[in-house]
Amino acid sequence: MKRIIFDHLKRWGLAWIAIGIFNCLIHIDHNKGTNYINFPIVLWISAFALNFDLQRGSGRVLTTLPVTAIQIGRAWWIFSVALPALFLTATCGLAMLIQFAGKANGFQMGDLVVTGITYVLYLGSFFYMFIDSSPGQPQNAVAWARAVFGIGFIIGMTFVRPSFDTPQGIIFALAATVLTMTGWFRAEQMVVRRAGFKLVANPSNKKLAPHKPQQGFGGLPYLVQRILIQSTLIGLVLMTSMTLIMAYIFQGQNRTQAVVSMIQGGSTPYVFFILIFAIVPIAFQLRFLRTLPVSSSALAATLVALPVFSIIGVGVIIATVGGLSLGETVILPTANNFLILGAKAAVIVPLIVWRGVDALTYLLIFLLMITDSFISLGVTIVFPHSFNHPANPWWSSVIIFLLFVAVALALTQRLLTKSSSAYRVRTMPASAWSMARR
Amino acid sequence: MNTNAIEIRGLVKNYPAFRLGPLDLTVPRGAIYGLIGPNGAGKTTVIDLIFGMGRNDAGTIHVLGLDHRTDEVALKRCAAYVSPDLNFAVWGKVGKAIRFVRGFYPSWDDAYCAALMKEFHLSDTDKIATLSFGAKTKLSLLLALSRRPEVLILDEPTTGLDAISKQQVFGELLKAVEDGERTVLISSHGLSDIERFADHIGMIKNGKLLLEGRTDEIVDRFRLAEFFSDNGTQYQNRDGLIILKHDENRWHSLLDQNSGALDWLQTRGAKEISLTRLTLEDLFVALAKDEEVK
Repeated sequence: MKRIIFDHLKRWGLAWIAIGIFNCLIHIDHNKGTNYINFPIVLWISAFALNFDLQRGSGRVLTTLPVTAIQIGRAWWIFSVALPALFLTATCGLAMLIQFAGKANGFQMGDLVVTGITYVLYLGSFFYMFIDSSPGQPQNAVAWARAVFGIGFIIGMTFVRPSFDTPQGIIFALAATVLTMTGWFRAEQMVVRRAGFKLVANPSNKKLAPHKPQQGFGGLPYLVQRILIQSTLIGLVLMTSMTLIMAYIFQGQNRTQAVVSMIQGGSTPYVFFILIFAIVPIAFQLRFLRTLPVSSSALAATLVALPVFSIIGVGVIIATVGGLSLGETVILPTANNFLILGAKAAVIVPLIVWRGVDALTYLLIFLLMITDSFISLGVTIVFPHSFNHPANPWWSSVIIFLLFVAVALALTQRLLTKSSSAYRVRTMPASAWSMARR
Repeated sequence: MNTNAIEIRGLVKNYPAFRLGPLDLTVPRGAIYGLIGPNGAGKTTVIDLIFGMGRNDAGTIHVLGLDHRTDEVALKRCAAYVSPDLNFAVWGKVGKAIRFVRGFYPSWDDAYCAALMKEFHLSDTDKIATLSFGAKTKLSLLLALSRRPEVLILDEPTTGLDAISKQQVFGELLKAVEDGERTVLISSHGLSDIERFADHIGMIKNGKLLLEGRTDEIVDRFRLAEFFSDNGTQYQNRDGLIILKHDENRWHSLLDQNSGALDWLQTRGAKEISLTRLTLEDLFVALAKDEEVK
């Protein structure tokens, strides 16, 4: 078990260092409390990292080593929940020490303990939701309900801190505790599920129903329809449920401000779900798509349009509904926000076509997603009082959006034809084997 | 009408650690052409370039007279690609994957598709993620054959297939080419299968074509020659003769019967020369080893 943990830490050490520094920096910012969680950044040293390895077959490799499924599952829990929580709490503590250095009263150990518990519950819940689910897209209504509930719950936790001083805080705290503990005790089942063993056998003597060609159009329009509907619906469910939660929580306060904050805060994780549901599924079948009679330009346009249209569609609906119910003040920030998100999603496409779905791709996407956060943070640190953030005029967001989409289109088309190396099936990095040799 | 289905001339593709070509390859119309070579020889790169997956640095590729770059879409309409590497899992169920691919091809043959599904034990409701490795390959083949392509290109199609499934796959391939109009290019490590089913072969190593021609002619052309000689070193470095090994004064070599090497051996004092017919696999191993030495 120790070897599995050390192997993981060795391979993901750089990510831990980067996220540790980022977490420390963001907590030095006076505007952020110690309980602030950088969703979904911290997940990159937790369930996302493990999932990345599992997608590349590490689960199957580990099950061939002389360790039990329980040991593997518990090791996963330790390096995805316990250790990151400890590490992130330590970086928060460091930030507090720097922030309150030389001050008589400031550093509160109680705050730090609560932060640590929050991290455990947050990472533990996500670990269970993400790793215990079936790999790939949900295939039935129960799986979809589970995925949407999981995503909503996790995003909800970023807004409603688990605590015992508000009813919603108590609900979240109790639910998160149950999920975190379930993750620990379901370790064995998770390993069996994620090691890629077949859940359903295909007996050779099964009764075959005669082939009935499905009615309706096929080809690219069918692909577009499936992905667009899926990702737009997920986006709508996510954003609507979060908006309702925020509207409920801030009943007596400024609802407009709360809803705008939710859209701005919740939309970055939304892009990650677009990545999972609209971009990565296409990236996985890129080799197949390249063998079909579609020109590289048409394929590039489809690849870029899918996430962009999905995001813009959700943005239009939310801006319209928000504008009608809360007033015009919601429309501009919502439109700006979704245009910038669409621009970022567009640029993710050539990144994936260029590099495939590997660790550096995820790092680049992560950097892309937090670029504006860094700029904003830098401006706040350098000009803490003297700089007011004016709202972007709509035309600047439109120009950025169009520019990014055009660049993404041109790059994707070029990369699709330049080399097939990104969508060639590669040998799995068998680093897990190194453990067996020790 | 062009008598060749695929014509590759002077093809070059450079990678940081590998160079393909310059490569010339000719696949006659109606043939089953086996492209063989060790891992990393460049077989998949050739196939990728045919389908526009990557840009060649030099040379031309024509499939049924269509240029692989300027006529990309038309080429892909008449050529199909099969490989265990293709990922259909995103479609969830077999029926949905079929609906997707069918939309690209007006000539899609539903009856043939249904017959293949029965033959391959697949049904519309099968979950692709739970299919066995072999069943996924069969799905790939089904999606390719049902569009009735004029050129079928298969990259390691028999990897992971059991003996019965291999028979099924090759049986369908033979049916596909029996009218003499369709062409199959098959890249495989299963040399015994290639020897049985392919009427033409091309042997590729380190990005270079070592040999190309009709399978029966190539297998007939080469022989394993065993002879006795006290001074075997004099036989090395002779075109058409590759020394494989020797035990004291008994020498084993690969002999090209078209090169005149047999007469040359006799005039150089080789005694008790015996010629044995080779399998394609023996021939491939010997030529590949020789290329490595060079």
